[in-house]
Parts: sequence; structure tokens; C-alpha cells
Amino acid sequence: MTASPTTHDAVSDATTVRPVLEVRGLFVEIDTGDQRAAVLSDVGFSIAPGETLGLVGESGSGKTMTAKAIMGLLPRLTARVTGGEIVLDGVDLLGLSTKQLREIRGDTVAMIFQEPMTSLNPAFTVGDQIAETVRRHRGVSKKAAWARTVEVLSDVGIAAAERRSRSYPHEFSGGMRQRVMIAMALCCEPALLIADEPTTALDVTVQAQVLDLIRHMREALGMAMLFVTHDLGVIADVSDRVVVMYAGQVVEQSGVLDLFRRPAHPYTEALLNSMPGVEAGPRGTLLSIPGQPPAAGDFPVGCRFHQRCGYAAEECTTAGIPLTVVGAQETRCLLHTDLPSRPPLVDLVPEDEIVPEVLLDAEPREPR
Amino acid sequence: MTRLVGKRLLAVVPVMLIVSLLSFALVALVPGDAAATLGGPSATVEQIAAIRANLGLDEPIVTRYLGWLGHAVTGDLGRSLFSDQPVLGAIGERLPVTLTLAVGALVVAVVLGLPAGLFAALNRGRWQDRTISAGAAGSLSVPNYFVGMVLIIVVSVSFGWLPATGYTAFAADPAEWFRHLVLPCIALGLVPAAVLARQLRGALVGVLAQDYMRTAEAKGLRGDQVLLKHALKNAAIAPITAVGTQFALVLGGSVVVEQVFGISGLGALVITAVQQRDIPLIQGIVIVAAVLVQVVNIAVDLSYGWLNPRVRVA
Repeated sequence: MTASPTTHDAVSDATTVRPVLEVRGLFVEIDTGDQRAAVLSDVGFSIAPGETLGLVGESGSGKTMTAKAIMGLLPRLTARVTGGEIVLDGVDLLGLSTKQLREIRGDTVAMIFQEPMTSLNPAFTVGDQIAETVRRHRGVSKKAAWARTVEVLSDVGIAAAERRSRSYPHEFSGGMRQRVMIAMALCCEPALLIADEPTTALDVTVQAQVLDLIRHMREALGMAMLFVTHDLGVIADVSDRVVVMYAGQVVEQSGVLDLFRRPAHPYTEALLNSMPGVEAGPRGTLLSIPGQPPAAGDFPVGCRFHQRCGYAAEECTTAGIPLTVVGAQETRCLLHTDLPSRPPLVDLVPEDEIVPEVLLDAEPREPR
Repeated sequence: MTRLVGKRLLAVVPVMLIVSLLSFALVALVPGDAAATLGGPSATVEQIAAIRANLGLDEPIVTRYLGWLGHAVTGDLGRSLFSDQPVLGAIGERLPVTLTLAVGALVVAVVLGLPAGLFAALNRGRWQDRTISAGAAGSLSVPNYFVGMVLIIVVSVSFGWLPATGYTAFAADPAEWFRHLVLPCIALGLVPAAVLARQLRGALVGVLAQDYMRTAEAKGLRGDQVLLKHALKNAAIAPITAVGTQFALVLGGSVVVEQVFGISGLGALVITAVQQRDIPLIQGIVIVAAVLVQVVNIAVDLSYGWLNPRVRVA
């Protein structure tokens, strides 16, 4: 009798560990010529310390916009946050001044980008670009900053780091430049790393190496990570949980195994079907998603996916669909409420047959 | 980098040869006889011939050119036909004044043009940008002597804030030196300022959209570090080239502006030399101006090596 409340408290403690990042009800608008279009609508998720959250979606789904909003890197003149909260380590970033935000960026939260070839400044040595970050946030001497620079470059697997720190970006290959970017992001040991398609622009062989490095560094530093990608194979490899975005909304939120076993949203299911290596649909056939994703400002009424959805019914076309909890998953789909008119979503694969590692060998393709 | 410097210095030789040839040829083609002018209206034919022989004007032009070139290389640009003063000495007396004026004009260009270009780029497409663009277009279309006269009328005559004409050496009185320089430097510097603002704005707009600028922001650098370190070094090539080119135009412009402000610099010397057909002096001034422009061009070229590490290899 007396034990039961204690147990309850322990459970609630475990579930209320303060997340590193909590995004709540985020709305972002952009100027498109003369009108304003909503690109993010009610985006929300949280990342626990040490957790990796995958953020998946097609081009234009708002995943990069979400990452930029967290970093405060939205285009200053054309985009604005119109609602919501982005709480990092207990602080709402949207309430901070630009000056305060600059203190946090690169220190508590850091980001690596999709374009390693162009993300480094060609006019400065890579060492200089890392050392200035260290000096900015740690306030240490030039010498100490340079020592840290060499250390972190060597951590990310750059041989002869001492010498290479004095090289310019054009003297590095794409994969090496991404290693430099990773070193730059990690030099101040952030609590949260945002990786925006960090391997997309790299050669396939280099992709695996860089992905391994990111995973290794994440474990070594114990930091949380938001991993943005369109590549479900990569998601299977790195994520603990996955948020699927479509047309500026979160449409599904699942544990990584659940996502591959029983996608809770038809869009997720379609994404999985359009990926080679997952044995869904007739063997050897890749299913593509019909139609185009809608552009910002042109999102359909009702479920934003209904025009391309094989399960769509009348109810899907009239009003916005709320995010509902289904077991351990969340989905923005009416299929999980009582709709007699449609067949239920089925498990794609029997539970014990799917091994996410299998997905690694598959070469995923961008859904169209 | 040493190779870059060496190559650049070698390239000066043919340029200077061509300049010397052109200046020599141009003066030789100008109608009018220096010997006749020097002798005055009452000179006899014999007297003029004597002057001509004295100056070597009788010899074939190629011989004259080679002889003159040989002396010029050793720093002897001959003597003025009128004052008999060594040409280099005459230029040396006036050059500091004109150089001060030119450098001052470029300082004005940087002080006005740099912030204007930065501000316009940061507010691209907004009214601030358009205002600066209009101001730059205005500055480019008004001649420097007109600006000079307006400045004299308004600032000196109406308000009496600054002297209208004249020049005081720095050594004599630094404060007066500065007060005398402000207006002519503004008159000369407005055009380079407008050119700099435009070039800088254009280059910066491109640079600000680069991925590495996003990286600089993502690292949490201060605004001034992002802009003045990461953006400016990459955007600097075009504006620095433009300012280098403007230096030659400022030297040319000083001829007129020195007249407006009653400053006896190289510009005033040029006018006298041309009016008197003082051939050695004209040639000397052309050569000295060409050397100055070459020096500035080399400095501009070398700055590329510093600004863009990839140039050093090439």
C-alpha cells in the first residue's frame, strides 16, 4: 500500500526528466513575393538527454525550416515565427534577444549542414574557424583554443591534425570537410547537435564513415541529437525515435522500430514502400507516392496528405486532423479513430523479421 | 606568395615601357615648337635653332627616346625647359601635396563608402538600400569641381567653418593642414565612395547568401565577427579593385580640384607644363603618375593573395 505511491513517483520522475529540447506548437511563416505562407504549423516534439530524434520528410516538408528555427537561423527578412515555444535546456529561445541567442549557438546547441563543400569559409584556415568558436564560447587564450582545435580535429579522425589545422578548406575533400564541420560543431561539447542531412552530399562510401563518426561522437559526448534527413535507411541506423513531417506538420511520431514495423500514418507507410530493400509490396516493385507534395501556402484543407493517400475518405477532406496518440505512437490520421469506411493499416512486416541493420545496405531513394 | 610578388613585379617592366613610349610619342606629335615657344615671339630663327640644338630636338626621335629612357631609368628625367629646374625635383616638391589629397580622397571614400555598402547589403531591397543606391548614382553623376564649388560656397563662405582655398603643410600646422584638406578630399572622394559602396554592396549580397555565412552564424559568433571578418574578407576583392582603379582617376581629378581650391600640387604643375609646352616636365609627370598607379595596382594584386588563399597557389 505504502509502496505504490513511491513507485508511481519513480515512474513519473523517469518520464519527466527535463528534455534537452522541447518544441511546442511552432508556427513559421515566410514571405513568398507579396503573400505570407505558413511553412510550419503546430510543430512539436521533444528530445531527451542523450537521445537521437530522427526528423524525416520530403523536400519542402519543413524539416530543415524546423532545424533552422531552433538555431534561430531563419532568413531574417523573409521568415518569422508566429507562434510556439522552443525550449532548450529550460530556456525559451524565442524569448531571447539575438545577442543572447548568439551566446547559445555553437555552445549549447550546434549544427552541421548538408553542404560540406561550401559551409566552410574559403578565406580562413580550418583551424582558425574552429579556434574562433572555442574562443568565442570558452573565452580561453589563443594558445588554448588552438590546442583544443587540434584535439577535436584529431577526434574526428583527421590525421596530422596539427599540420592540417593550418590548411584551407579547398585543400580538403568533401568527406574531410564534413569532418571539419563536425569538429567545429563539437568543439564546445554541445548538449544538442542538429545534423541537417549531413551525409546527403557525400559519396556513398564516405557516407557510412561520416555517419559512424557522428554516432561515435554522439555516444562519446553523451549529447542529444536531432538528425534531419529524407533517408529512412539513415534514420534506421542512427535514431531512437522518429518524427515524420509532411507539408509543415508533424504527421507521425514513433519509436524507430515501431516506425518500420507498423507505420501509424499512411504517408510513412508510403515512404517505406518507396524505399528499396524493404520487402513491402510485390517483390522487386518500388511503389512511388502519386502526385506532388503541396507547396507552402497551398496546403489542402483537411488532412494535408489526403490527395495522395490511398486510404483517404470524406472525413479527411473537411477539417484539420489532430495529432492522436495510438499506443506508443502519435499520428495525424483518422484511420486510428473509428472510421468504418476503410480497411485498417496493416503491419508491413511481421514483427520479428525486420532488422534495421538490413536497411543500411539498401540504397534508399528520395520519394517522389 | 614570393613567386606571385616576383611575377607581378616583372609585369611592370613592359607596362612602363609602353607608357614611356606613348608619353614620348604623344608629346612629339603635339603641334607647336618648344624651341620657338621658349625663344618667345621676338626670337630670331638662329636663336630658335640654337635652343633646339641645345635641347637635342634636332636628333632623330628614336635616338632622343633611347637617350631619354636611359636617363629616366637612372632617375634623371631631364630639366624643365623654362625654370631649368630638374624635372624630378619639381615633381618632388608638388607630389606630397597631391598624394596627400589623393590618399585623403580615398580615406573619404572608405569612410563613406564602406558603411554605406555594408548597410545597403544588409537591407537589400528595402528603402535604405534604395536610398543609398540613389545617393551613389547622384555622387557619380556630379563632377568633382562642381561639388568643390558648392562645398566652398556652403561650408566656407556661408558658414565659415572651413577655409575655402590654400594648403598648409602638415609640419607647419597639423590642425590647419587638416582643415584645408577636408573639403578638397570630399570633392575628390565622393565618386570613389559611390563606386566603393556599389561594388561592396554587390559583392556582399552574394557573400551573405553563402553557406559559410550560415555556418558563422551557427557558431554563435558576434554580429561584428560575422560581418567584418567572415563576410568582408570574401567580399573585398571587387571593392578593393575598384578603389585601386579609382586611385588613377583621383590623380587625374586632382588637376581640376587643385585649381578650384587653389592648391599648388602636381595638378597645378601639369597645367603650367602643358600651357608652356614644357616637354620634359610633361613626360616626367606622366611617368611618375604611371609609377604611382603601378604601385597601387601591385598592392591591389597582392591583396588578392591575402584575401583568397587559392590565388597563392596559382
